[in-house]
Amino acid sequence: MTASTRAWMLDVSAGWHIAVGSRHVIEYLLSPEAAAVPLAPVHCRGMLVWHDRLIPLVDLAPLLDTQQTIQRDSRRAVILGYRDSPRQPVRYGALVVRTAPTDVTVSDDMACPLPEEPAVIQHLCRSCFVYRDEIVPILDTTRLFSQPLPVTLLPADCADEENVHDYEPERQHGSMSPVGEFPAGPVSAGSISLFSPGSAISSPAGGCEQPAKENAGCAGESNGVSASAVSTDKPTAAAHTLATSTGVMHGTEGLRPASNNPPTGVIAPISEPETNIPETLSADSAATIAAKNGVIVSDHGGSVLHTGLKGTERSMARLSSSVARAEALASRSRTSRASEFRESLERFNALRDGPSSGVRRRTVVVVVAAVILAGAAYGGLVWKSHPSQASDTSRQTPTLQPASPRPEPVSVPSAPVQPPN
Amino acid sequence: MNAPLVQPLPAATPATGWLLLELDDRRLALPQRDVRQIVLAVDLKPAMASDSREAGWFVSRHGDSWPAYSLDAALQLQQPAPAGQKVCVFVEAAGQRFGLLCNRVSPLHADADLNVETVPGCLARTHSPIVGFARVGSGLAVVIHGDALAAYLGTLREQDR
Repeated sequence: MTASTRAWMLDVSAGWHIAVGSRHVIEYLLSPEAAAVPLAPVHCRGMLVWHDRLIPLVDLAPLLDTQQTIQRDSRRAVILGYRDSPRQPVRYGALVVRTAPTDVTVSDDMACPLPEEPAVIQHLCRSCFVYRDEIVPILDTTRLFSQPLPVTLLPADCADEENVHDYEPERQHGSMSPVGEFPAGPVSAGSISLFSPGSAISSPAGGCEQPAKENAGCAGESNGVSASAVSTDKPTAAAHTLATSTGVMHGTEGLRPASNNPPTGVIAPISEPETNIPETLSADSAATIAAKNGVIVSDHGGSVLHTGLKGTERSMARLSSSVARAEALASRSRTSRASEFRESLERFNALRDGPSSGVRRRTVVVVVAAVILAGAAYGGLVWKSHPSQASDTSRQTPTLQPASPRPEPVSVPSAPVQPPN
Repeated sequence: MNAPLVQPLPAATPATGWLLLELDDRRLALPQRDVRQIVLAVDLKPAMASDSREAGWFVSRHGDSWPAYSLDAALQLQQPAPAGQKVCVFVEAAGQRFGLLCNRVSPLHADADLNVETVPGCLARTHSPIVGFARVGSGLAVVIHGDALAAYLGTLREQDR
């Protein structure tokens, strides 16, 4: 039985999708506004104000899309959480995406080796899997946000060797394991048990035909989630990598902001999924979901909604499930409403356009008029023929009466009346 | 009894707060403890050599002269200085004193007036004078320190040689 976990696929550039564990995805921004920063590497767009904190906005397009065939002015980003080391608080970064994130379920049998090219994929990703005939590397968020990119990975016209760090892993002295450090070589998911050499795999770089790499230094729990796992030779599978990549939600601390003041926002209801989970989270449906659950989508730099701060390990997974469930419900509701509307429209059209509809309408009008007239005639006949009604009518009917004799006028004495003495 | 003519000066206290330097659309936050003097750009003497990296020199009453530099929004040296940069802030750090031309200067009196956040690793670069970022109003201020700025200017000068 292979392990499976949930992940978000992010469209980062030039046909490349990168997967991130569902626990790392905090929010989906539709219009991030980043302030440019001087002396920043080419892939760092600047700093983004998000929930009263400054986080870097990273765009992988300049690194992946060397031909510069895509538009760089994407207005969408995904907030990702990461830890520099297990004991450190959760930090956040934003990654520019071209389309809405897609929710997928990843299992170990989907794993494949990392492609050789581009080199930045090998540097930033730890493993990868095949999804719908496409290689999807699994992003290491800690390496992306907390470490400078080696100068050799920068585009030739942007690399400034005087100002860019050479990559040197930072080691924490005195610890039993290189916590916060990544393995020296790329972590290949394609262990012998996971990789099928004969499988035909296509990728934008066309690089998955490489044989499985040696799993040197494979760190299943790279960021110190489990220190003992670092030194083992256990191969890293795709689902395992996603589940343990940087351990944002691991440990007793869970995912919570670095400061003591948690960002305000709506915490999504935590419930287990009950329906089939759709795999695509479109922007439109996401907005609907956000209104219901307060999940994932926000606008104007993330000032509206925020999730994932529940502080429990399972909250993000449940959050993702609730998003999918809400979307399924919304989709089902939309479908039922559409079908009802369609049926009523058909009934209306049938009545309107049917061959006997005009005759039927005229018949109804004639019958109603006849009934009204008949009722009125019958009522008038009954009213006139009733004797009491007739007598009442005769009294009430004004008739000419013979003129009565005019009364004699009363004479009034003209002399004043004297009061009695 | 007559009061003394000269009141004793209070004990020196370390300067606190920040100085916000505006370079066109860019805002730099510099600790006030690193700032020694603020002069007008018109008081600077222009650089003699056309290829020099200094925008001007300030000559004190005692005959000391200190260089003044002009940075653009990308924190690169520019010469001559734009006409809008009319104020020069002199910083003393790393055993040297140098000036930085800017458009405007405004003080923040307490250290806590700025909530400085560290530079993320993905933005870190060697020789960068940036030690952090802070929100100022609705904008962003780049926090620099005198020592880092001195080293950065030294690097820029070395690159030109």
